[in-house]
Amino acid sequence: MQNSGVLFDVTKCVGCGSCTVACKLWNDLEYEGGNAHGYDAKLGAQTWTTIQYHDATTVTDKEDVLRFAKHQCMHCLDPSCVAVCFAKAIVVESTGAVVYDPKKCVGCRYCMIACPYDIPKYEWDKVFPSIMKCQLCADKLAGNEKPACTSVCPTGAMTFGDRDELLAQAKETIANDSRYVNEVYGETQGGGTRWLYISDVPFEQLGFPTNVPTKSIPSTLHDYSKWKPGIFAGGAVLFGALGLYTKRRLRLEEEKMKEKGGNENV
Amino acid sequence: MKEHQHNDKEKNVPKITRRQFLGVAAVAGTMATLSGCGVVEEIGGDGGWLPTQYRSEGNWTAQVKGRVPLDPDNIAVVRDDTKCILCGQCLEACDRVQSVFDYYELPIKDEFICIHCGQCALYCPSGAITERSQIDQVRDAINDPNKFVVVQTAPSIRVGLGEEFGDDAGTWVEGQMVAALRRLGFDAVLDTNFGADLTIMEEGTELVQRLTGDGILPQFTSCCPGWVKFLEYYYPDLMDHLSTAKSPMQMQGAMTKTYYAARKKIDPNKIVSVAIMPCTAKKFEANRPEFNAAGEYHNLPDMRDIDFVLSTRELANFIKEENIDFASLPEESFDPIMGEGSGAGVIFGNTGGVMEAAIRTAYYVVAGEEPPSGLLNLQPVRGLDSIKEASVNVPGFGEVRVAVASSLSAARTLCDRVRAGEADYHFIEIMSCPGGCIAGGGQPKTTVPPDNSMREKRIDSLYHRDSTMAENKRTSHENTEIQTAYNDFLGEPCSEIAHELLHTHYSSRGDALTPKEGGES
Amino acid sequence: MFDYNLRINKKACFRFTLTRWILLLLAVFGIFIMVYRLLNGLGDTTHLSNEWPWGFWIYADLVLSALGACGFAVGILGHVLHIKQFKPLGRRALLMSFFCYVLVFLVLFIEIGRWDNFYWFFVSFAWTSPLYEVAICITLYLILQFLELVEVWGDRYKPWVKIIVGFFMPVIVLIASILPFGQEAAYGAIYLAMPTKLNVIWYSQYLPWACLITSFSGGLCFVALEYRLVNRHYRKVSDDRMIVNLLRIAGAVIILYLVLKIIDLSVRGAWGEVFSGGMEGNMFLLETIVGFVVPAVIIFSPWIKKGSMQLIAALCGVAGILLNRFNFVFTGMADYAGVPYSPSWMEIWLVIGLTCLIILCYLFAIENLPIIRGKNEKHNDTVSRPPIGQIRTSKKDSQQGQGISQ
Repeated sequence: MQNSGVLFDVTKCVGCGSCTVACKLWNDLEYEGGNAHGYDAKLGAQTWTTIQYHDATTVTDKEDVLRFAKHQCMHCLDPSCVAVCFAKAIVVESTGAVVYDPKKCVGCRYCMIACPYDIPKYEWDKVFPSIMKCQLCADKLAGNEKPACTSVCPTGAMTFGDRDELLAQAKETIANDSRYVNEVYGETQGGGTRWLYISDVPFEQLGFPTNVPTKSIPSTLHDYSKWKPGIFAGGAVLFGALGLYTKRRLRLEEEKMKEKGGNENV
Repeated sequence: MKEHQHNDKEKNVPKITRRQFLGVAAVAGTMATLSGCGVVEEIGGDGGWLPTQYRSEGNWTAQVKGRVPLDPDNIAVVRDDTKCILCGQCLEACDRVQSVFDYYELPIKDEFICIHCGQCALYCPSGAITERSQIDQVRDAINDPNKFVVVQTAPSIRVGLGEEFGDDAGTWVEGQMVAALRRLGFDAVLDTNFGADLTIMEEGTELVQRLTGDGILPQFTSCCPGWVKFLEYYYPDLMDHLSTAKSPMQMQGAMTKTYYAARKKIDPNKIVSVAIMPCTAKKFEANRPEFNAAGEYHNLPDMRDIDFVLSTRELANFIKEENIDFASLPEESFDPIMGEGSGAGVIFGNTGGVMEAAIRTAYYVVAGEEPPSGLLNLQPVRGLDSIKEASVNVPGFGEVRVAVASSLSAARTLCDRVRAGEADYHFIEIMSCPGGCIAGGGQPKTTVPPDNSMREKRIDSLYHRDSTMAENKRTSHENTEIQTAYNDFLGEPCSEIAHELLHTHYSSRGDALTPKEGGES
Repeated sequence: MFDYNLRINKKACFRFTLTRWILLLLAVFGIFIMVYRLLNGLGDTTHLSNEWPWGFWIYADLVLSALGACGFAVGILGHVLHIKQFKPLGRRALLMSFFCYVLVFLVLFIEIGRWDNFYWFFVSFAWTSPLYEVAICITLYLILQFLELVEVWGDRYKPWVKIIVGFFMPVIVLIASILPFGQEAAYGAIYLAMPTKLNVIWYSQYLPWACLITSFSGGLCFVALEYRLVNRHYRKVSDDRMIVNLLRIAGAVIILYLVLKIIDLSVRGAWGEVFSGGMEGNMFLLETIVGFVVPAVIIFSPWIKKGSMQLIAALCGVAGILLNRFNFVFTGMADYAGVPYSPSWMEIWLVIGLTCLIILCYLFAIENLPIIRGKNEKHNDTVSRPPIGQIRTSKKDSQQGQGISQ
């Protein structure tokens, strides 16, 4: 799969948490003081995905309902963590998975603070810690398998496939069912993510940040850094020229002073 | 001279100065770091595993996948995620056996749909799903000198408990069970069979009233809490068919804190009522808000009829934790007043048993004579078929048509027929768990998943007990303690006080889900 | 062209006073914490968490880098624009800047979680990361500054070194005055990646340039502060007119910053947040008034003629850096983080300890290298002061610690 994507239909999730267990099993992660699903489930160094329970209100019927949101690395198309990484320890694979290589990591934790979804977590208690986050089961993808979480869902809330096809499918679902919020979360957020969500309750009620700009963070950074070569080169030329000019002027001044007969030692 | 020699010796030994050592250490350390040795651990993927069904290439999906959704606050059943291996067995139980999961439309509304039957716990091979344990609360109550802890045991405990201590399936251990409960420190050991007989008196009388009057028929049994919640969820329109009689456990509980307390002259406030049940749904039933009849009776709103429910497995664990050697215990008998049970009460524990017991007494009430011996062995309602039918000719009324279903998928079939007006039964017995309470969600996991050979052995054991009891001990109305209770306290079946203490009402849960049209997708 | 009137005295000399013993004690304590942190990890030593992945050490890095801008600010004035009166400040600004960046580097080394992988960033070439830009610029800058200091050292100890390095000096000075544009702006660019997290008051496309500008003014104020304090300590005659001129340049830069900030806030419509009475708004007002408005007012008023007022203006300018960086590292991020953060005692004392170490190194350097020049105040000095920038005629003199005036 070159253009991997996962479509998560919030209306189909029953909150069983199978996906969270599959993630722990496949990635050999420990339980951090409780289940990875529930009202206060949080991502952590050992918890790469959670099913968070949310009391929500449907957009059409204004009905109070219980909804579940799966949180994990969104696998951005243009990931902020990759752009800010000090050491190129996080890269985008050919499948689209955003994966992390602990051998290169310097541990600056810039990815943690730069991620608009707060996904990367840190092994604070280790002497030589790693960043921990969902790898989209890159090793399974390499073997032409689906990510672990998507393979165990009993209700088919998750569909793994080509992102473009899934996006089209999501839009069709929304168009044919008025209960859905008229938005595919992840289509444009931060320049687009590989995990896409459709829901019948507002996304902010599901714990998703809704203020993520559509412009990707790497391109924001590029808007700044693109000036840098010019500034360095232009600055060097300008300062060089200025230096030569002012130095000459200073020398002339000093000569003039000497001619005046001043014997000023500075 | 000596010093010279010493120096020469030293020269021959290869010596490492501190500086050299530090140098070597630094180089080694740098090399190890540069090559990534020893410092970096592998991350993700390789360390773990997944069941084979999830390991197919491409976009195929497994047939058996995932697990049941379970509210973390579920009152009856809990799951330990660290033990879950996503084998999918709990879903098999919930979906195929009980027709609960996948029988409601998605999205869900605002609760997890669960009838607390505990079949998932029986199917779970890794022990991830268990009952929500209340052993600690019961132990605390026992250790509290101000409390009078009364325990009742359901009919099917005595054919299951022994299996936890190495006995064959279905071994009859009533005597040791009573002895063990006394050793555990319970102040009184009563028998739910008394409550079962009481249920027959009330439910049988209700049936006769419905049969002879123009009541809604068929009448459904109401002693299975999983079934009751199932009906409230999926068939709220059929709620009027349910018998208003409470389950034996709840009748026993209500009577314990009223009648028994009065007879024993105990402050009902001091009584802690514990029930040992083969069932996890009983934990839910005990917590239904309306089950505080004794509290209403005494005007004590906080009082519950049943305070704690332990499953058979919990009782076994309790006995093991207290280091009681179960196998070597003597056989003891229940305490008087509410400790006597008839053969009819005994067979409450298996599918068809309630029906058979009810017919025995209904026959007596309608016909005015003891049932013939053929009715004491009503073969058509026995056995492990999920749906059984029979008709009984009762003098003074005519033919009474009955049906028995065990498992909720069978119940769903019957309910659909009743709803469609295609079922002209008078009385329908429904048990959530296949085989009845003897294979309930709280019973020992003797075979995983539960199989019919195990169920048959337990059922046979109950029928054997019934058939070996004295002829006049096999019907509920002949239970002398029941007779005393009516004479001294309740008056007659379905009297005003009996209604207050022994009958209940139901509330629709239809708003909690949207049933799927046409069942499984 | 520097006339420090030095004769070569090969023997380095450093006298410990009570204050310096205390500094040394704190420095040893800081090093002890540093070793402890390296052996035990971040979780053991800091209050950092998944909510606050960055804390006090990043703040220290940002502040020290901004103050370290004193080197390039004075370098541009003295050696690019060749303003004669600022030339005597060149070496002391260079030295302070060098030590600031050494400290930045040390703290950065402590701050990163995988110090065993430290070498990786030299070969990663992660150009997209502002943090990489910071690291690579600081590394190159430190090398250049080191070469400049080698020249200073050669000035006193090995004249031929001075000649060789001096040959490359124009190029080194040129690059060294351009490079800091990279790191100073990149420190702001780091926070460009947090559009949803950093409060709207500080988050702006122009944050990098704001950082660059404030580091320039802050650096100049830092030099002025150092000039006044060190000259007083060593009883050197201060050139008040030069310092006032230096501060006026700083003041002009501060006003430039204020104008740009006002325009920026207006364009983005963030004034509501500033005057909302919330913690962020109030902290911004504190930062702006104490750190930028007050020094600008003092600098462009007649009060600036007074030495004490120069000191206050310089102090406020430095405080502006401390507050500004504090606000976008902590204040502006607090609301998003949701949970409070306060640094652990080890986080704070490690920075204090290493700072003490650096101060000692700095004192050692100015007492043994031709850094500071100028006439001594003329009066009988009964308090012994270490001689700096002066001829040492004999060992005895230096032990007595009495500077001999020209």
